[in-house]
This record gives sequence, C-alpha cells and structure tokens, in this order.
Amino acid sequence: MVESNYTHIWERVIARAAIVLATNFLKTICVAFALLYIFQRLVGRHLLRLTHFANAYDPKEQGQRLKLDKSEVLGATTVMDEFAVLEASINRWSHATETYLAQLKHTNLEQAEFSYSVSHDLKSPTNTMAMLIDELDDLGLTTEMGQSILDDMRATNKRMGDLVTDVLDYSRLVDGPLETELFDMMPMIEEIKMDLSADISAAGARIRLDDLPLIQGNPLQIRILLQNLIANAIKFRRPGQAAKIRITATQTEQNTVLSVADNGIGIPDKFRTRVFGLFKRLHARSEYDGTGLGLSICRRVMSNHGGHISISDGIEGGTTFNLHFPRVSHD
Amino acid sequence: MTKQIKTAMLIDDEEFDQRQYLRVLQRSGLVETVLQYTYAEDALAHLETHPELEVDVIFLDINMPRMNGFEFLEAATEKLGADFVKTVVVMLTTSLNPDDRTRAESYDVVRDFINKPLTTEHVERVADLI
Repeated sequence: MVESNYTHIWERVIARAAIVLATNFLKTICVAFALLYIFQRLVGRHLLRLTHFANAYDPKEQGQRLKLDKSEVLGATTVMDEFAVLEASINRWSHATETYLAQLKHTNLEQAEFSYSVSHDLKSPTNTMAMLIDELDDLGLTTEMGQSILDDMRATNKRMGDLVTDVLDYSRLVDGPLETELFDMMPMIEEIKMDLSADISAAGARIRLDDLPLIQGNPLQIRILLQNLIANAIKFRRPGQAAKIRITATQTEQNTVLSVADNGIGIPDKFRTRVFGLFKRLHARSEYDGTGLGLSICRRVMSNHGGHISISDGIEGGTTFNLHFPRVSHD
Repeated sequence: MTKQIKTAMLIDDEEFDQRQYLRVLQRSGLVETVLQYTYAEDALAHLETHPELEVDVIFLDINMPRMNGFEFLEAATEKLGADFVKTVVVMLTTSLNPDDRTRAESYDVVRDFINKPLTTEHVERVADLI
C-alpha cells in the first residue's frame, strides 16, 4: 500500500514539473520575442536602413540622403538621438562627397576642353608656317647659311606641330566615363606590329608574346598605350643590338599585371617617376626625337582604367613597364 | 683688339637653338671662343676636368632633360665652389615663370636673366658685365 502511494506522488510530481517547465518555457519565449521586437524597433530597422543606403550608394549620383523613421517607440527617445546624429552626419558626408566629385569632374572636363581648343588653334599657324617655309625655299636661296637656316626652320616648325598633336591626343584622354569591354589583346598587338613594321625591321626587333588573358578595358585607349610602349622599346634600343621585346602577363584575384620588357638603354632609378611627367624627356632632341608626352599618355590611360603603371628592370639592363589593371568581377 | 668675351659656354639642349646662338655670337663680334654643350652634366664634367680653363660667361638654359639649369648651378657650386665661372652666368630661357627668375637671382654667380631669343643687343649687354 505504501508503494502505490509513492507511484501516485511521483506521477503528480512529474505532472507538476512538466507544467512548471512548460509555463517557464512559454514565459521565456514571450520575453524573448518582446525583447527582439523592442530591439528591432529601436535599433534593428535603422541598421537595416543604413545598410541598404550604404550598399546602394553611388558617389557619382546626386542627392542621395539617408532618412530614418523617427517615430517614437514605446516612449523611448534616447536611442533615437544617437541615430539622429548618425543620420545627419551621413547626409553631410554624402553631400560633401557629391560636391567635390562634381567639382573634380567639371575641372577635368574644362581642362580637357581648354587643351583641345588651344592645340586646335595652334595647329593652324604651324600649317601656315610650313607652307611659307616651302615658298621661301622655292625662291632659291644662294647662301649655305640661308639654306641651313631654312632647314632648321622647317624642322622646328614640325617639332611644334608634333607637340600640338601630342597635346591634343593627351587632352582627348582626359574625358568622361570610360566605356569598357572584355577583349583579347593578341590581335591588337598584331595590328600594332603591322603599323610599326618599318621601324621593327629597321631595328631588327623581335617581339615575343606569352598567352595573354582577356582584359576589361577601352580598346582605343589600350591600343594607344601598347603602341606607345612598343614604339618606345624599339626607339630606345641599344645601338648595335637587335631590340628584344617580351610581353607577359600575371594574374592574381585582385588584378592583372601586363609587362612589356625590353633590352634597351634602360632608365636609371632616379628618373623612374619623372619620366611620366608631362613633356619630361631624358635626352636632347638631337639624340632621340620625341615630345615627352608618350609616357604621360600611358599613365593617363592606366589611371582611366583604375590602375597604374610602374617601371622595373628589363632584359639585360633594359626596362620593363608593368601595367596594373584591377580585375572586374566578370573578367 | 682682343674681344671682350674670350671664352663663352653655351648650355642648351636644343641643337637648332645652339646653331642660332652661335650665329648671333659671331655676328656680335664680341666673342672669341665658344664651347657648346647639349647636356648640362657634360658641361659640368668639362669644367671639372679642366680647372685651368677660365670661362668668362655661361649662357645657361633652364629646361633641359636630366640635369636642368638650376640643378647645374647647384652641382657646379657644390663641386667647384661659388666662383666656378670667371665672371658671369646668364640664364637664357624660354621660361616666363617669375619664380624661375627669383630662383635664379638667389645665386650670386647669376648676373643676368635673358628671355629668348638671343639678340646681339643681349650679347653687348652681357659683354659689358665683364
């Protein structure tokens, strides 16, 4: 009889325990949901709004502003003050970025227009000059000094014309948004080799290409860039030595690096930044011709593509130009 | 009569300009010997290896590849002392930048600043400085 009492008590205890556990469980769930709800209303939804805003932000657009729903929650306003400050700061930030970016774009375009029109207007007098010099030549000067001066005039006028043309080309590169496509550089390089075929055979130059990956870029600009580098490699070859040019590429997750290496005269360390400057040259015109704009143009193209250009040692004392292209998600 | 300028040195990277200066100097009749250099570093090397050479005047261009006019003045003063030229350095330049003029004047040895083109009047003016 005592045993059956224990069983009965035990069953009642278990039942009690089950009810207590169940009610506690329900209470906890309710409190948890209540807390989550309060958190979401006070903090969570603002963070969500902030995340969406940050994710969709495009600095090139105008008027993007964060707007947080400031309705009171359960009478709690203290947390909202912090978010009000955050919202105001972010909007100030957005406004400043948009203003500066617009200014920068405007200044760049203005500068490009200016360079373009100045060069354009200068081209005309150089053409006139060339004609006048030819006229003078046709009159037949008898003195040797006179002929020499006339030849110098013609050459100097041509120099001015070349400078104007190069400045024109440079100014055209400082332009608006860049249109890019994924393309293969190999056929482009073949075209460049055809364009430069006279210089290539005169220099006995050999150009070797590795398998090059596709790149995301503006074909017109990349063409100018590569043509400049290959022409330079041929021009600045070592006297008495056949020019060797090697084009290779390495890829990481973040970028594609294209390298154009030559066995030419090389560039001393101390000049490796200077050479990219506008009109900067390392030789007198009597030694090597050129306007000093070629590498500035290369630098500008790389900058337009969000990358950069650097110089390292080349083949047997020559130079290597490294073109760092950032990789886009689909290349 | 010995000419006023015995030895003149021309430092300018542009070959055509050099030819023209030579014509102007010869036409002025005031210069006996002219040394010409396309690279400033070559001119400096020549001055270093010929310490007995007395140069009366150096016509110095500013914008030149590798070593420009100011870099030449720095290097020459450092290696040869402030009296590396017997009398005078004249900046002969296309530069319209007033800062260049100020910078040139900071060197005692620079006694004149001529804007190109060089004329016989300029040469006479320089000859009087000696």
